This record gives sequence, C-alpha cells and structure tokens, in this order.
Amino acid sequence: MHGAHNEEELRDVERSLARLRPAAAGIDRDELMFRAGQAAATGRAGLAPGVAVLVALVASLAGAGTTWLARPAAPERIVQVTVEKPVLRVVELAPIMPAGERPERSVARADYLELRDRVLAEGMDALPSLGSAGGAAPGGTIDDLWRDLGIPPRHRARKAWAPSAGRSAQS
Amino acid sequence: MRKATPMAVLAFLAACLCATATAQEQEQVAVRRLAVRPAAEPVPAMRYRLMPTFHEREPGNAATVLKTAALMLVEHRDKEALDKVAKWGGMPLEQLPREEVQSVLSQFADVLRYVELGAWRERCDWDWPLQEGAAMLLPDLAAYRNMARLLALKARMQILEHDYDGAIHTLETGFAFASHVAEGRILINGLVGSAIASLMLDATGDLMQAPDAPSLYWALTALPRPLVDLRQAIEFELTGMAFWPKELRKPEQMYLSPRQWAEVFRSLGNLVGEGSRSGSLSPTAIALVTYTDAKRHLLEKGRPPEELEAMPVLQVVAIYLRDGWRLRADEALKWWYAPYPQARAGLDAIERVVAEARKDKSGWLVALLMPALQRARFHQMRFERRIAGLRAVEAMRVHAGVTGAGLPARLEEIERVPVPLNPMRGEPFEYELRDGRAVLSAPLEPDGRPEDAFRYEIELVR
Repeated sequence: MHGAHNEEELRDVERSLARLRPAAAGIDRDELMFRAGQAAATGRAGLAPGVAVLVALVASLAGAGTTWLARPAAPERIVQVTVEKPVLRVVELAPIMPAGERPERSVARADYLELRDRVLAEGMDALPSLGSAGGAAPGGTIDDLWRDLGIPPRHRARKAWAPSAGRSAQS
Repeated sequence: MRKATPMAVLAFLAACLCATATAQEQEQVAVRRLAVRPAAEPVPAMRYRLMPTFHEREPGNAATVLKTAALMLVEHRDKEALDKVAKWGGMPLEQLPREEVQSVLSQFADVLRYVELGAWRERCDWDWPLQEGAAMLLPDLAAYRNMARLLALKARMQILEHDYDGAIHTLETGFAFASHVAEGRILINGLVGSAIASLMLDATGDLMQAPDAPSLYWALTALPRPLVDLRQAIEFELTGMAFWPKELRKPEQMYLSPRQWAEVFRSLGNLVGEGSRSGSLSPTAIALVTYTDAKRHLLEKGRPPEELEAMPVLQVVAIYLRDGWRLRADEALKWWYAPYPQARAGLDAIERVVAEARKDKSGWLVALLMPALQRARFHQMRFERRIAGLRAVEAMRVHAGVTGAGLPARLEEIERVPVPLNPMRGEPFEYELRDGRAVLSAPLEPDGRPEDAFRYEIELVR
C-alpha cells in the first residue's frame, strides 16, 4: 500500500521532468569577459599596499616566535636535597638487651595496637572523642576533619591518634 | 580465762575482717534491678524481632552509608549535645528530660536516618587500608560510638512514650548496626560492635520493664549467636600476622640483602612504638642479642649449617622470631576454638604463655603484639551471657503470664519456654526467690572484674 503510493509520486515527478525543454543560455560571453577584466584592474591598485603590509607583519611575528621558541632553556642544575624518611620509627631496644627482658607495653606503640588494647581493657569508652567542636565546619578541608577527629593529617606525627590525646571527660 | 580472752579477741577481729570483705565484695558487684510484668508470648511468635531477617534488608554495602553518617556527625557543631546524649545514657528512663531529649534527637535526625539506611543493608565491607598495618587510622570508630548512643536514646525515648513498635524497630536497627560494625577483619571492629550491642541490650532491658511491654523472649532467642563473632579477626591478627612487616611473615622465602633486612627490622618501630632514644632500634643490636639462639634453633630444626652461614644474619633472626610467634599464637588459638566452658582454663594459661615469652628471646614480639585473647573471649561470652540472662527474665514473664502466679520458686518450674543456660559455664544460672524478689546470678569468673559480675534482681509488678 505504502509502496504503491510512493511509486505514484515518482511517476508524477517523472512526468513533470519530461515536460521540461532546453532553453538558450542567457549569458553573453564577451560581455562577461570584459567586465571581469575591468573588475580585476580596479581592485589590484587598492589591495596591493595592504597585502604587502600584512605579509610583512606575519613574517615578522613568525620570526619573533621562532626565535623565542628556539631560545636555549635555563642551564640545568643538579641540587642535592635531603629527604626525611616518612614512616620509619625507632624503638627502645633496651628491654630486649639485658637477659632477654622484653619491652613493656607502656612503650608507646603503633596506633592500631594501642587503641585495640585500650578498648579491650576499658571498653568502647577508650575510643577518642569526636574532638573539641564536634566536627569541622561544613565545607571544611580534610585537614579540619582529621583535626576534629583528634587525628593529625597523615604527614604529621601519627602518635597524636593515641586515645589519650583529646579524649574528653565524658568519653 | 587468760588464754580464752586473747583467743576471743582474735576471733572477733577475724569475724570483723570477714564481714568487711564480704560487704566490700557485695558492694563491688554490679546489680541490675528489673521490675517486670507478666507477658504472654506474642502471636504470631515472631511478631517482634531484634535483628532484621536477610530478606528484609536492602542490597548494598552498609559501610558506605555508615561512613556518610559518620561525616554528618563530625560536621555537627553542637558538641554539647553529644555530651548530653552520653550523660542521658546512664540516666533512669523516668528521669530523662523529655523535651530536651526530643530536641537533641531532632538535631541528629539526618544522622539517625543514615544509620538506619546503612544498618538495614545486606552486607558490610569496611575495606580498611590493611596494607597500612598497625599504623592504620580508624577515625570512624569514635563516630559509631556516638551513633549507637543516639540510637539507644531514641529507643528509650520511644519506650517512654509507649511507642513500643517504634522502639523495637530502633533496637532492630541498633543490633543490625552493631553486627555490621563488628564485620571488619580486625579485632577492634568486633569489640566496638559488641559494645554497641550492649547499649542496645540496656535499652531492651528498659523495654522489658515498660507497662504492657510485649514479651521479647523469642525476639531475644532469634538474635544470632554469637552476635559478634571475633573468630575471623583473631585469626587475621594471629595466624595472618596482620600487623607484622610482610617480610617477617615468611622470612625464609625472602631474598633480601643484609641492608634490606636491616630496613625491615627498623620498620618494626611502626609496630612497637617510639623509643625515647633516637636510633635505639639497632638491627645490629638485635642480631647480637638474638643470633646465637636463632642459629641454634634453626640447626635443631634440621637446617644445614652451610645454608645458615649463607643467609643474612637478620634473616636467621627473622625466622626465629616468626617461629616463636607461631608457636605461641597456635597455643592461644587452640583454646579460642574450644567451647568456652571447656576453654576457660586454657585461656587463662594464655596469659602465662605471654608472660613466659618475655623470658625467651624468640618471644619478645609476642608480648608486644598479641592481643589479650582471654579478655577478648571473655568480652564475647559476657555479652552472650547478658542475652541469656534477659531471655531467662523473659521466660519468667511468660511463666507469670501463663500461670497467673508470681515468680517461680525454682527455674525448673518454667515449662512454657526453655530457660537458657549460663553460656559461660554451660550450666543453669543460679536462682533464688527471696521475699517475692528473684535473684538470677552467675559466679564471678576468675578472669572477670567486679563490674563483670552477673546479678539480676527481678521484681514482678502488676
């Protein structure tokens, strides 16, 4: 149904095209050539100085740019910087030195172990409090968050996470 | 007569001392007093629950939502409000300042909503940065404690307003929250989860005493046991040597230069803490003190001498320390796996194992790194005992509801529902009915402290 309709439309177009007849060209070749020559002669005199200036400007900019890009880099310098090792800690070895005695647990230890043993001994109240103000201001930085949780940013000494630090009387 | 007088004085003094000691002992034992009413079993039996069933839960990871709640709590500026919440937790229900409590709870409504969203999720993966080892930071845990206090306060407030269905839903959220917190792979998760669940049990005790409160016998019975399972965390810390430098876990498989071994031993500073003298963790000193024993140990194990000579000195020491740890860790673990009533003596012995490790050079890390296993297991069982105790009280309420009589003279009289045993002993609780008041108790465990004692005094009111 749909195809038959299309076919009918195509036939209409075909019939319309068949009715078209060739007609003589409406352009006078001689006149066209004359006018083209005339236009070329009048335009050249006005454009020439402008084009010259433009070319000169582009050339000079290109030259300057090339010079700037090609200039030698600052001379390389080798600087020696002492970098502190971030996480290695030292420990009191003394307790294992004499006659196999071991270090006492009172020696400050890594954060998790300290917290774990405190919670085992004292219960959940051994967890540090949420900080002095209950939290960072909305939109605060991550450093604010750590501070308010009673934890210093990672690049600072980690021992501040020890539960005794910042624990409120309530907790 | 002359002889008799000093004897009498001595006897009198001894009697006074005994009386004082008994009085002190009684004073130290914490007693929970419960005034309860008869209550029939609910119909249908599981009408009330204290833990969501799996099919009621929402898909997804609880940890992501709970961490959001923690951030919301941290951003809350009213620190005083949290202090009040902590204070109200220890206050008798009828003394709570209702309006102020409601006002504070409304301040934290968003936090409580997110705790609920997280608690009712199917699973919980905390995804801690375990590669950080013992230096790992766990800032969220303090926030979870405050969330638990808020939840318990909300439940108690609902009880005060006779909204028992609401209170049971809040407690259900609280127990689910506790079990999610306990799901971390490290021991502290289990300990905090257990403490959160204890707060919920406190509020459950308040609900049991409320007028016309429904029976929670089957709801308590349906709580998972153990509610907080520390097994995975204990295995992770002991067998997995989770907080040891990884090179020390399988030192015989490491091919490191002496310089690299020295670095490994210096990194032990992360585990055992900072000393007062800079640079005092000297691998050379460790080698000097330990190497002879370490070498003898490996020769006795059948290692060829030429192989030992070819090994870096500190690698020999590392194997020695690792073996010392494994020996004692397994000695502790085997008792962890045994049922508690049978394991108590063995668990007590762990402390001796740790103490003896101090005298042995292969054991010095044991004393530093091993958690107090006996105490951890005691925590777990103490919690189970509380659930059993509350079930026993609920059994008495059901008994009173069915028979119309008062409290039973003996626990054996309760026939309608089973009376739970004391899980710490595997035997019935001690029970006594005196002047219309029942005393349900358990003997103080050898490893327990006075505050760990179990003694409920129950009064039946109509």
